[in-house]
Amino acid sequence: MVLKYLFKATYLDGTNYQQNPEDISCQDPKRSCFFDLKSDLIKTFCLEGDGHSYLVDLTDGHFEIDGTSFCFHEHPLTEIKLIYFRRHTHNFNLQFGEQSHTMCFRFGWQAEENGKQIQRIMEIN
Amino acid sequence: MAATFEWDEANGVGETVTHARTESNWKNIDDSTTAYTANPITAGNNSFDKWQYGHFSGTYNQILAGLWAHTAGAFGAGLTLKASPTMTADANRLAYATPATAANANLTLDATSVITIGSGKAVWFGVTGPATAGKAASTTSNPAYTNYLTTQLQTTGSAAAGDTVTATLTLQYDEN
Repeated sequence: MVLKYLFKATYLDGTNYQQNPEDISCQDPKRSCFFDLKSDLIKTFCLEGDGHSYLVDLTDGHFEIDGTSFCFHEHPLTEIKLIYFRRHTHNFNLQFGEQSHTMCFRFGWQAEENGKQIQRIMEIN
Repeated sequence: MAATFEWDEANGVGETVTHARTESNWKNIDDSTTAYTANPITAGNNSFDKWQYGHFSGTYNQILAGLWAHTAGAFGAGLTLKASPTMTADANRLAYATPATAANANLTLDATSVITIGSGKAVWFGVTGPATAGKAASTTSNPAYTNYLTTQLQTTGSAAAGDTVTATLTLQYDEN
């Protein structure tokens, strides 16, 4: 299945990692590009495709859609960790085989806010 | 690209696997190819239990958050769909047994009613095959397999003649 959105991670030192369309890791050909990420050093993680961009900033937890910034939390965050998955749904019709296979992109963060672990995840179809 | 997925099915005494199945009709024969119309289930009897599972390959980092459910096609009277149990421990995984029409007592989940996939049963993942020990809620193994998602259509004499409603079974998972 072709990936509608490809991710780009920008590290704290300003360098970038761009996911390739084949989604094959540079380090291990059986792994995806996500395997290559140095997750503790990421400043921003951005999904780009279909004429749009969706970004999460892992230094303060804010999100951006096409450059417009917003946030889902009220207090400063610590221990911010990236969450990124593709959610697949296979509908298997008993008579006609696989009716549909959909994939949505889910990304955001898990962090500590006032001593509580919270998550904020954006889902893009 | 993303993780590559296919439905596989095991049949026969020797757990013969057929890959990339495109149908899953319950019927009165243990195979993955014969048309259901050639071997229909007679009211009051059960289908052969169907031993299908998900098989992952391609490139991925991790697979997790598996759910399975009967999501469309409400069955009529006299029809009960039984399924393998939800996974909360590796011991819940079913070992393969030669398909038969006797009611499979290990299929403890009643999946007759239509539900949303978000309310589905948990599916776990692991190495080598669907019955292999060590299934967990997530895996980084490649290839990887779900536990067996075994089903059996059980009927009573009150089941209507003819085709059942066309049911849809759904498998959902996350990967990155």
